[in-house]
Amino acid sequence: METSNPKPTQSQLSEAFMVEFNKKKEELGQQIKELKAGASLNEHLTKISTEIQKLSKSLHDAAMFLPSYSIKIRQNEIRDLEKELRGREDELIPKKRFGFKSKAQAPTSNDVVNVATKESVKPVINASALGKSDNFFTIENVKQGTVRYTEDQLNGNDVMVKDSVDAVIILEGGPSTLRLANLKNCKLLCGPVRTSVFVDNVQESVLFLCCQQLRTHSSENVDIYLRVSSRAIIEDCKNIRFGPYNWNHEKSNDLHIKAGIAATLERYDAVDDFNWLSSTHSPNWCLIPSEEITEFNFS
Amino acid sequence: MVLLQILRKLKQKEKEVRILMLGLDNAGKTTIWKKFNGEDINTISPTLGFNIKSLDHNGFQLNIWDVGGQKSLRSYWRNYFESTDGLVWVVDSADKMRLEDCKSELHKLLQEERLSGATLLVFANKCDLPGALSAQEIKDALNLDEIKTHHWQIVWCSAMTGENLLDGIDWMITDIASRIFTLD
Repeated sequence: METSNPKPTQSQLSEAFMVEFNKKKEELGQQIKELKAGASLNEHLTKISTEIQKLSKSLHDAAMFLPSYSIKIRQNEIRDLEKELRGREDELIPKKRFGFKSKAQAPTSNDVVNVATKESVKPVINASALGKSDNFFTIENVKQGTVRYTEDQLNGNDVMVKDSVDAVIILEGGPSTLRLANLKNCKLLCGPVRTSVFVDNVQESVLFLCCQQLRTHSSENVDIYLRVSSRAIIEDCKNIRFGPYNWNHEKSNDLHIKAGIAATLERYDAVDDFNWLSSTHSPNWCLIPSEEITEFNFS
Repeated sequence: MVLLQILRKLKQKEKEVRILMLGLDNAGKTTIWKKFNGEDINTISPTLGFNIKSLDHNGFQLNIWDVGGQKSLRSYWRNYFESTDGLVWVVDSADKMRLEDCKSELHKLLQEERLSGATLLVFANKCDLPGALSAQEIKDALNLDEIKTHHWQIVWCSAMTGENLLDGIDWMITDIASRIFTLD
């Protein structure tokens, strides 16, 4: 189609748009009022909802020539239409709401070797709330002392270690992912993790981690001995120090192969601070001076 | 609508579709993005900033934006909303702990005026992992049925294997095309 017309001005465009818009709006309003319960109700609802979306999209597209105040008003009108439609829908169809019902009180088959469960009375909001706990392994409330888990217990699981203080935690290997949350003054040693490690709110601790990717959030004063095959990031952290991961365990080689990480990889300084987007070095992390590097010895 | 026809034709000439990928950190946005572009996915680290790629697919020019999902970056998401035709929300199906977080971030986005015309595709990613939730469970957990303001669809996928990525994107493009472009 060839247009020989001169280019329409903004106000002509916006006037033309308003005519169309109002017409459509009234049509839809009318249709909503005329909705009736019945077999084809759902179909009508979908149709009207689609039309409203189209109208909304047309407003979106017209934004280039409509005055912003006018856009605001039109948006409100569209919202009113949606509200009316939803109101009408609620009247005609009794509503089903989604919620987690407690029926799935998953028989705590969590395989949790729980050190201090007996004291912890308050309900734990974790995966079992979702009724799926098959590959979850939670270690929590370790207060003092040393706990140790073998590869057989952890293999392929999503392992979570949380709410622990003054503890030494040894995870011999094999988790699919590892999450650490709310740890204070802990030492944690973990064999190669297949995918990612997520550290959240850990204070005054020492971690030995080998993984594909490490994310550390909201933590302070933590030494991380790291072997990472892509990169590590920190966010909302202070005084995090990184050093090389060196854990010579008899199964170490096997576990590295399973995790797909080279046992010879020396990569611990590939760190991005998401709160420090400048090209100068972030003040929130540094390397552990060589004289302070400790080898974690466990037998 | 006469006027919209003019607008549509403007876009139609180029058949350009702008797709924005968002989601929590570690959902797999960059992996999906790279897989779709046919790039290596083994060395991906958390995205600092964004990635953008234009590619031709089924006669459309797709501009796919992949924006980092870390908490500190989410406040920048709004800088990418403008003229988005399709929103891809990526969910880590195995990350049950943060589904609540995931739901609230998604519903927050859907309130955004500048995303009001966009089609929503939810990718339930990492479905190949043991213990991952099904797409149906994710749909319930994210309250997707409550969304009446956008066209939406949930598709399970695995970015690692590439399974179902094309089906998802194709659904989205068809949906966008039916609204923006006059179908031939």
